[in-house]
Amino acid sequence: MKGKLSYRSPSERIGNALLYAVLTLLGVLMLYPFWNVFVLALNEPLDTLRGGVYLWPRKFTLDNLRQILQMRNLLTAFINSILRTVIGSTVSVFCIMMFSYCLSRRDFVMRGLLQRMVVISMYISGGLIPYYFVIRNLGLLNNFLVYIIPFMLNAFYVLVARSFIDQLPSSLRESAQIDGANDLMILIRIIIPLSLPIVATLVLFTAVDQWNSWYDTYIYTKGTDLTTLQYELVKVLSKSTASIKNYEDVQSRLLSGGTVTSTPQSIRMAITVVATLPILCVYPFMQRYFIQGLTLGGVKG
Amino acid sequence: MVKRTLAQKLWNQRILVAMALPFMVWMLVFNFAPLMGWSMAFVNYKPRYGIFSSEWVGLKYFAEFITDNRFYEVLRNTFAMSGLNIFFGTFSAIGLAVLLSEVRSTAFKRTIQTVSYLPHFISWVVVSNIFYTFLSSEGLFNDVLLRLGITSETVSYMSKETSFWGIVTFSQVWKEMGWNAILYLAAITAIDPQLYEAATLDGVTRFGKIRYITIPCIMPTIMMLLVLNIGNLLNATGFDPSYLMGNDMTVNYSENLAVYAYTYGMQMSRYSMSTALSIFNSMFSLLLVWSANKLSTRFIEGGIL
Repeated sequence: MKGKLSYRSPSERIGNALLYAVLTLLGVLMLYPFWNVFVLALNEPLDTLRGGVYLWPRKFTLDNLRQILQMRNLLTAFINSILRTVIGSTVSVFCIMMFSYCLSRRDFVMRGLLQRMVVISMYISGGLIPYYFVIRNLGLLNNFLVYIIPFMLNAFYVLVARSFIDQLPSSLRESAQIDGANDLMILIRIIIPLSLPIVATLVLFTAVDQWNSWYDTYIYTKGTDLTTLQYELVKVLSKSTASIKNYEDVQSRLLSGGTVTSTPQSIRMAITVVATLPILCVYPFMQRYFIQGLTLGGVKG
Repeated sequence: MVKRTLAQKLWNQRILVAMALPFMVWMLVFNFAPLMGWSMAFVNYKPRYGIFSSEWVGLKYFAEFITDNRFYEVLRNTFAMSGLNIFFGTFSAIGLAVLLSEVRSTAFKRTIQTVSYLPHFISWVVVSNIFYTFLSSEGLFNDVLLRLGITSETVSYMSKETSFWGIVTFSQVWKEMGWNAILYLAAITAIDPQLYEAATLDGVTRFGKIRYITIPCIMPTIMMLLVLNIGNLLNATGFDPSYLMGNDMTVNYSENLAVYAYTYGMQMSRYSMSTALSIFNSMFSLLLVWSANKLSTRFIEGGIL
C-alpha cells in the first residue's frame, strides 16, 4: 500500500519538474533585480558605464558607498529616516492597539459612532489640497511631528487589530475587571501581551510605511533639515531621468578632459542599497506573524 | 433594570471614553476637517482672503475640467492602468498561490514565498529606480534582446510613451504578486483535504483537481477581492508609480488623476481646481464602492461593507 502511494507516474514527475522550474524562475525574477543593484553599487562607476555588469562586480570598489557617506544631506536623511521609523512606528502601534481595544468592547457606549467614523474615513478622503491646509493650520509644516502625528492611526490596521482582539476570550477581561483592573491596565497587562502576533505585524507594517514614505518630506518640508533617505533617492532619480542621456553627459565630460569619480547611476545604486538593506534584513523574520495577522482579519477589513 | 441615561453610561466607562476620545479628535481633524476644505472648490480661493471672503464661483471649476480634453486623457490613463493592474494582478496572484499549494517540500515553498514578498516591502522609489536601470538603453533588458537577436537596436523604453502602461502593469504585478497570493493561499489551505483524497481515488489528474476542486473552492475569495478592487478602480494605481516612473516624454500616457490633482494643486497653485478634482475622485470612488457592494451581495452573503 505504502509503495503504491509513493509511486509517481512519469507525467507526474514531469509536472513536478515543471512546477519547481517555474517557481524557481519566479523567485529569481523577484530577487535578481536587488542583487544587480548591489553589484552595481559595488562596481567602479566608469566601468559600469561600459555595460554588462550583471552577476558579479567586474571592478570591485567601495568608493560609491564612501562617496554617499560624505554627502552631508544623506547623513541627515539617514538619521531622520531612522528617527521617524522608530518613533513613528512605536507611537502608531500603541495608538492602534489602544483604539482597537476600545472598538472591540461590545458594551462600549461610543463603539457604534467610532466604528462608523473609521469606515467612512476609509472611503472618503478630502484630497491633497484640503489635507495640506489642515497640516498647515496645525503648524506641522517644517516640523518633525508631521512624520508622527498623521501616521498615528490607519483605518485598515485598526480593523485588522480589532478583529484579532475580538477573538480573545472576553472572560480574561471580565475576570481582570472583577479583580479591579481598569481598562488601561487591561490593555497593557492582558490584551497587548496576548496580541503579540498582531503587534509584530503592526510594527512591521508601520515601520515599513515610515521608512518608505517620501511624499510628506516632499510637500510638507522645506530645506534639508527634515529630509529623508527615500526623498534624497527621489531627488537623485529625477536628476538622472530629467536627462536620460546621463551616459552622454559623462562621455562629454571625459572628452573635455575632466575627471569622473562618480556617476549619477552609481550614486543612485549606492543610495538604493542603503534604502533597501534594513527592510531586507528584517522582514523575513516577521513572516510568520504577518501572514497570521493578515489572514485572520485582512479579508473582512 | 433601571434605564440609565447616556451621561451615566459615559461616566461608568470614563476610562474607556478617555482612551478613545483622543482618537476621535484625531479622526475629526485628519479625516473630517479636510472635507470642510471641499468648499474651496466652489470659490475662487485666494489664500489672503480665506474661504469665506473669496469670490463664489459655483461649479465653474468642475465645468472647466469636464470640458477639458486633457482631463479625459488622464481619466483614460487612470482606468487603463488600474484595470490592467487589477486584471493581471488577480490572475498572477491566483496562479502563484495554486502553484505554491502544489509544492510538497516545505523548505522550497517557504523560500519562494519569502522571496516573493520582498518587492512588496520596497518603496516605489526603489522600484522605479530598478526599472529605470533595467530598461535604460544600456540596461539588461536591451542587452538580452540584442543578444537574442530579437531587436537590432537599443530602445530607451522608459521614454517611450506607448510602453508605459505595460511597464507600470508589469512593475505592479511584480511588486504585489507574492503579497496578494497570501490570501488565496490561505483560502486554498482551508479546503477540506478529503475532497482531494476522494478525487485521487476516482483517478482525477492534478489539473483536474485544480480545475474542479481548488478554483471552485476559492471562488468566493476571488470574487470578494475582485469586487473590493473594482471599488478601488480609480485609485488602484496610486500617485507613486505614475509620478515616479513617468517623465516628460511619457506624460500623455503616465499621468493619472492623483498626479493631475497634484500638478494643479502643488505646481500651479490652483487650489480650487485641484480640490474640485479631488471631490470628483472621491464621489466617483464612492459610487464605485457602492455599486461594487451591490454587486457583491449577489456573490457573498452580507456584502463587503
